[in-house]
Amino acid sequence: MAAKKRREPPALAKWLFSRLTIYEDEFLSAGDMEEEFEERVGSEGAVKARSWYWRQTLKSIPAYIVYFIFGTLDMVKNYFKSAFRNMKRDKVYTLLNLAGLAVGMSCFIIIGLWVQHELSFDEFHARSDKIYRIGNSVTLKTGDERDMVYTSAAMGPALVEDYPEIETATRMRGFHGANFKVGDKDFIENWGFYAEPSFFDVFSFPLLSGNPSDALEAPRSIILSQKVALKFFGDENPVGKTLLLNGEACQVTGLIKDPPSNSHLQFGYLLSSAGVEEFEGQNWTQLGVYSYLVLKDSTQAEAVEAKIQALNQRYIGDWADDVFRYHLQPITSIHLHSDLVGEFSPRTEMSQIYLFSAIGLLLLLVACINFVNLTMARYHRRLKEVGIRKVLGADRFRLVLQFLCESFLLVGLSMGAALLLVPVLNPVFGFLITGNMYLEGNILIIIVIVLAVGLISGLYPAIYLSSFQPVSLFRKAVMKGSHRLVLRRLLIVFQFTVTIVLLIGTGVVYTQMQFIKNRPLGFNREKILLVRMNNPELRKNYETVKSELLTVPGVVKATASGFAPFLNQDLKVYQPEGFGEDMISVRTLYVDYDFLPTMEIELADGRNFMRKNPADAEYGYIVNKTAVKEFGWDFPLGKQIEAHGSNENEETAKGPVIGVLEDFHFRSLKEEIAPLILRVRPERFDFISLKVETENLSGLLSKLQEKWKEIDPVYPFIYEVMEGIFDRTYRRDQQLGRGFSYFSLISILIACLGLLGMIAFLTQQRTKEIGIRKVHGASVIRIVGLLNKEILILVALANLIAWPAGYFIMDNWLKNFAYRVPIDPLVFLGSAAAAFIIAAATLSVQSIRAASANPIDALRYE
Amino acid sequence: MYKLTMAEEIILTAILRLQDNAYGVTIRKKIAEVTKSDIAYGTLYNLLGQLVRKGYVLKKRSQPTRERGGRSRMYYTLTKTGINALEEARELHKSLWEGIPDIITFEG
Repeated sequence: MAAKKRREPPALAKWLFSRLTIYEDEFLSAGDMEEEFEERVGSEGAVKARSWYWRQTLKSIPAYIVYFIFGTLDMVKNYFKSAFRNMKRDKVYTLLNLAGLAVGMSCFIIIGLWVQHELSFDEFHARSDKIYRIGNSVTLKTGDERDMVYTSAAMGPALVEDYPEIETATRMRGFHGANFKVGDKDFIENWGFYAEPSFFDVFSFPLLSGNPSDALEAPRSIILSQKVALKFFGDENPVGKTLLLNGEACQVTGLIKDPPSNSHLQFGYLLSSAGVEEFEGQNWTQLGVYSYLVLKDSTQAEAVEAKIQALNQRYIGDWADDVFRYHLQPITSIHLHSDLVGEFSPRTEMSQIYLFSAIGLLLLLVACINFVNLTMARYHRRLKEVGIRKVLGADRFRLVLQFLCESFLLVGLSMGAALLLVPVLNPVFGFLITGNMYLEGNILIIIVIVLAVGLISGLYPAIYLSSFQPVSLFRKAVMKGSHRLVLRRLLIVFQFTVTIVLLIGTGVVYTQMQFIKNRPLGFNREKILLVRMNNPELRKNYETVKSELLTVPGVVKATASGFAPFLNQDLKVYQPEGFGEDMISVRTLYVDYDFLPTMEIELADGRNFMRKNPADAEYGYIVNKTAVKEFGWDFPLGKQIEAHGSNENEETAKGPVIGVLEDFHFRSLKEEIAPLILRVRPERFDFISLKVETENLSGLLSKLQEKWKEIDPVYPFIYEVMEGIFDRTYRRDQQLGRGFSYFSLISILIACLGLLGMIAFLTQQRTKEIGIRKVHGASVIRIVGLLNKEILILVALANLIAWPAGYFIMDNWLKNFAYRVPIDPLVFLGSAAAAFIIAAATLSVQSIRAASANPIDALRYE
Repeated sequence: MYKLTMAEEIILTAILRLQDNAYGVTIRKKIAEVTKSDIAYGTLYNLLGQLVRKGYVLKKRSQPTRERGGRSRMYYTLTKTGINALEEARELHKSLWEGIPDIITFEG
């Protein structure tokens, strides 16, 4: 018995070999091995023969692996070939599918690129993880706290001196409204910074020309960005040239690469801080510069924060800890998370990123669903193919693989189209894209998207189609029971839910924006130009400037003010009568005698400031109604207000209230109307507002510009239209509105493609039913109604989900506004109606055709 | 042009030499005899499968035989194409080697 067993080949090897040889007739091939084995048992003995058998088996493994890989590749190649044929056979379907996917994916890519851009802010700095900005939370006399970007100029150098864990620090200060003279040409460049040599130790803005170690060393040396240098000097290298900056000679010492769009620091030039007063001072309570630090690698920000706080004690005094609280902001978090006073570039809110990411993902999902619906709509054309493949021995896995190959192919093609669409759609979505964005470096992500979308959208049809038994496939009556369609019905509900929510969003944003536009603000902002007075000499003679400007035909009224009204107000500390020792900080506008008539602001009580009454300018106050309420006065006229200076140079002024204003919106409608005080303070005037009356604004502007050259030869004519300022306040909200409207359009488009697929499927299924109904006398309209009803119920269901969701989201958004429209039920009804009408129209294209077909064709079939 | 690979050529010549007796065991032995190297059955079947797909070789199942315990063998024979391919290979070798003396001396 044992001897007999030894004459057998080793059982394990035998089994293994039989597994390996699936590619040939394994029974026969194993037979070859056994034949030779028996021979060898005879000639060499059983032991040697067994070991030979083992060696043979193991040596066959590599060949098997090679075969398997090539075999699968061959199979996949075949699948792609048949996928191509299928696509070509049904061009309309392929086109619908491609279009839906391509549009959905390109939206997703655009939103993705934008999100990537927003999240990548300031990461290009070599030490980005160790660079921090010092934020300074200042407690005012009134107890109000104001978190700002400004610190004392003495702080940076002291930190580097006192603490070894701080590698380096650099200070900057904004430089606005610069008038450059290059040769005999004038340029206005608004964005620049004072900076010191350590700027280049902290930040990674590469110098294209010039030496980083000394380019900012000498006083009045200036580094130009590529863009500005091109404007000033053309293609020549600007280094070594001189120019006039606000009348003073500066030497160009460097050419710097333009800051990338994902930098929170944006500038056209850097001016040496050497010899600049604001950088020299040792005054620890004068806050005027931005301070950036680089920490050593092993240092934790929290530990350094405590040490910065300790500077208060060392250099200012015990009381300082109650006033200045410092914190460190990682430079990479500034764009998304920092909203301090003095922030110098617009930020993006995280909530907006989440919102748009969600929209992008939903659109992609909607496109996937579309794919599923369209594929399923024509499944019947593939059933026979599936049947034949099954009969010929294809197993389920191979069929699934085949259908997946098809969806990968289609998704891959759509991705190609989407990538071509991105630059085309980019201008349409210009509201989102603020800088250059690149597809490069995202190839891996794109491949992942293709695979994910292909899998998500291909898996369900693949599993569904491969599940049929071949026998049932060749019978005519395939698939009863509509329960099979539950998932696809849900998908349609989902698609329409997304669409309706987007429509509601569009509607709510639109009504709110209309509300803002049309709400009476309490003053007339139309046809007002704001002109900046940069020259301190002019401020003293503002009355002359005004009368000079009034000589230009078309200028009707003029008024001077400190700060651009409605853009900015001073926050001053006051002691109103009845407050005792308590103080309150109130927004304050410095205006002249013509302010109220120019802006058409109504007085509720009392009078305007009067020129003939010099006391008005010294210590007269006009307050708004909200201030009166805040101060708790019943009879405001004549009540005393005492103004406290914010620093030693400013005198305390005490005087009576001479007028009360009707409330007007001097801030955006996102904020409640706050208490406001008007005062006459000519030394603070830096803006002149002109009321103009003209048909030809550009003509008037050029005349004003000429006039301005006479008035101020040094500083340029810088103006802004007041309505532009208002639009800017709501820019982000308008972006959102536009985003909603574009994306809802796209979502509708894609959903309609999906509907087309669904209705085609349904009519196909019910061909015979339609025929019989027609024979029995049903009209076309009845049948169209019958067919559409089913899907319109789904749309109705989508409304039920979308309404509360839309209400919730938009109510949240409206909370941004102090003054807002109640959410209009019409928006909901309108969105629902739009969805219904579009859906019904799409459906009818197909269902009318099905309903008006000759019933004979439908019934004759069997 | 059929452009046989060396491995294909070897297997085809082996089948040609074996005439009616070409099946797994004998083919493998013939190859071992000529090339002095042992080829694994797995590799051999792969190559045979390839040749069948290319149409050089036909598979034919024999009657069950006693040596194999009542199982049949898989015999391989050359097709017309296979023979043409071999002819071509032979011509190629001839013209490649024409005029080169039998003993090749290496002058270094």
